[in-house]
Amino acid sequence: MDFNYNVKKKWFGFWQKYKLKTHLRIASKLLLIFFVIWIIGSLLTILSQWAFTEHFAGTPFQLKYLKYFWPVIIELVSGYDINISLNMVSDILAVMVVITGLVIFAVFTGQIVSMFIHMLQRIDHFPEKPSQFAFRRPVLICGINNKFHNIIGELRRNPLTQDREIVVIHPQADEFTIAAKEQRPLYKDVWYVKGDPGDRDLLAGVIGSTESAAIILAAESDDQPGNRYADAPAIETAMAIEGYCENTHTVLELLDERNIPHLKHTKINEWISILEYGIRLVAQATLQHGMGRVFHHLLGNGRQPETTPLSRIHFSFVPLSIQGLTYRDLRSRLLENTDSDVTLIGFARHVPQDVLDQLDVDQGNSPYFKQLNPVNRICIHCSRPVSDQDPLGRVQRKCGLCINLEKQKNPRAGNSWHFPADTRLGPKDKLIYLAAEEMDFTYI
Amino acid sequence: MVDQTATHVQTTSDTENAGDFKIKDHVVICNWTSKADVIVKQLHDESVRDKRPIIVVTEHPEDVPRSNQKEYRGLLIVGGDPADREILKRADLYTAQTAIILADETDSVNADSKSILIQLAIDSINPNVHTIVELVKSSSEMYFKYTHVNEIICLEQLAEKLLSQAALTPGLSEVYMNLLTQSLDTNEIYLEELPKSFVGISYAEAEQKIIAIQDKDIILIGWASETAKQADGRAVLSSKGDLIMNKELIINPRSSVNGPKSKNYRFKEGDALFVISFEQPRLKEYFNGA
Repeated sequence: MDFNYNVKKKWFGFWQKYKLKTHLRIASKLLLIFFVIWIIGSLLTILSQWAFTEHFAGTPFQLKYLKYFWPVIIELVSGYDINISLNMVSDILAVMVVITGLVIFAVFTGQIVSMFIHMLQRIDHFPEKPSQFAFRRPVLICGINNKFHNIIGELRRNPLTQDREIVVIHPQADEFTIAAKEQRPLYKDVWYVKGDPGDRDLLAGVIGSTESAAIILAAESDDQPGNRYADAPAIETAMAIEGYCENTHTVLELLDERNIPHLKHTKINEWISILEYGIRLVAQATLQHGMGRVFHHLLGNGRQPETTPLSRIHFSFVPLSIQGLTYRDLRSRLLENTDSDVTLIGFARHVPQDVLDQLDVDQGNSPYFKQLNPVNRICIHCSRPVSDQDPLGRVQRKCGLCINLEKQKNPRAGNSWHFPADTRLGPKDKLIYLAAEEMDFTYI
Repeated sequence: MVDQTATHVQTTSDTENAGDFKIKDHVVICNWTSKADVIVKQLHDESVRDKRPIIVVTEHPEDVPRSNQKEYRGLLIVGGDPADREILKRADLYTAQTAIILADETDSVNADSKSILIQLAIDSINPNVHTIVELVKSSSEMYFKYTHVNEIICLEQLAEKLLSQAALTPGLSEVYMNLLTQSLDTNEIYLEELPKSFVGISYAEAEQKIIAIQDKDIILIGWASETAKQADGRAVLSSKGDLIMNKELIINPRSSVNGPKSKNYRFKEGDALFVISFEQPRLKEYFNGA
């Protein structure tokens, strides 16, 4: 299946790269003109030979005149005059046919030359996505800004995208070139589609047959900071993608975090307001010196000894063999397993939409509750057991007594709910862990 | 909130490096931007045990909000150009613990150049202060190699990495936001001093010991150890002939291999632990003397 898919992709890619469809259409038109000229030229020659040649004058039309089809095609394709005696009118016709043939062949040859020139000119450009072939799991990059090339590099360096196509969609996508020659391997399987990424017809041809992901980049703007409308085009694009195919995982780059509240009730999956992350990272690095480097590591930008490959945060579904185990059991098994290069840091709990509706819980646009560092059912203040839990099975980190005492001191004190470490993991839940690559956990 | 603006008159001149406030181990924020409010709130969040005073050095002191919020208690302002040595001295930079250089959002084209100038001014007063720089463009990072900057937070790089990883791992942005937000309800990554009783034990054993703590939710994710900086296989010395030390970070060490940086690694004095926790874990309170 993969072999078939790859062969088809290469074939349609080749077809698109050489613009064979366009060239074949032009060639077929030329052939049709060629054929029409041949028929007309031959018929006129026959007529002139019959009408104007002296020894044929007044004789009835004969089938032997059909031989003039042959000299006309020779004149048309080569301009060569074969030795058949013609009258003056036929000679004039022959000259006209020769000239027309030369023009048509010049156009045809020009087509072939232009095809190769076009190829050479576009050697530093991305190939155009074949219109007749649907990619299976593409990663779409909608919009182009100064982060565009580095995002392609990041995607290509990540093992999760090495076999996925990257499709760049932008009205001027055909004008963008590969950054540097030495980086060419990173641009393997990167395609472009020219047009507005919010156009439904265009999306129909781009979004994958199974699952796609889309990164929507903010438009580069000369506006002063604080212009919250600078995000409008990117938000519109993200909403158009979600409107067309909800299964596409959309990640939106936001310039102004004031737009975040508007997105919470859309189907857009994730949004990243980089100033918000950056400033929090600055704060963390201030509180814990060196934390900037830790996050650089986690984001795949650090250096570790060769024996310890860089770890990132991954999510994986809970495999059948360990479904029903608690998070705590699973953590113990992983600690005992000497082949496991994983640090479990939490899980994402899947709660069906009907349950959320029933409980009137607003979970935005994801059915998953992410629980980092699931908690023990023991009060962090007095070490008494915590028994209260909400309808989703979540507990607080303090017992009722301590919460009441705290509220007397500060009525606005918030005590959020967390999934406990003894939560049993179900088939739709996901494990959150640190590892060098995505794991399937079937080895446990 | 104490409000000291450009008109503040220095009353002490007993030492060359004395500032306006005569405080120490504080945080100096150079430039005030619309996002600096988040930093102040994060640094003075109720989950932070050792809250440090903050001195803001800005050319536009009028932009700093006069807030009654408790996070703004202990916020001091020095008006003036943060690239000016004298202005920085007034912010008690000589005794500061951390300096934060924020990118000037009013001039995004030259913001990084201005940050370099501020960094050079800081280096000339107190090169030992832990400095964190917010960069706009990754191409400017190379210029900081010649300064004593400790951490560079490049927004462009961060955006590229977060966007690309979030596209491949749904839910990741939320996890990072959780780890980056300082509050009692979210987890953060902490760098913990190694408890004395952990010296000589392996990472795997430490992991088991930490998980056994019942009244705290803590996950060990790695460690940092100090190593001498090397170039071409030889130790790099400072101009005074001292060894230059580097912190080597190991996150999620492997257990399937037996190398010196695997889970079999035995801790030595001076190492520090990286843990995920809802609040500063203070492992020493649990393990020292145990």
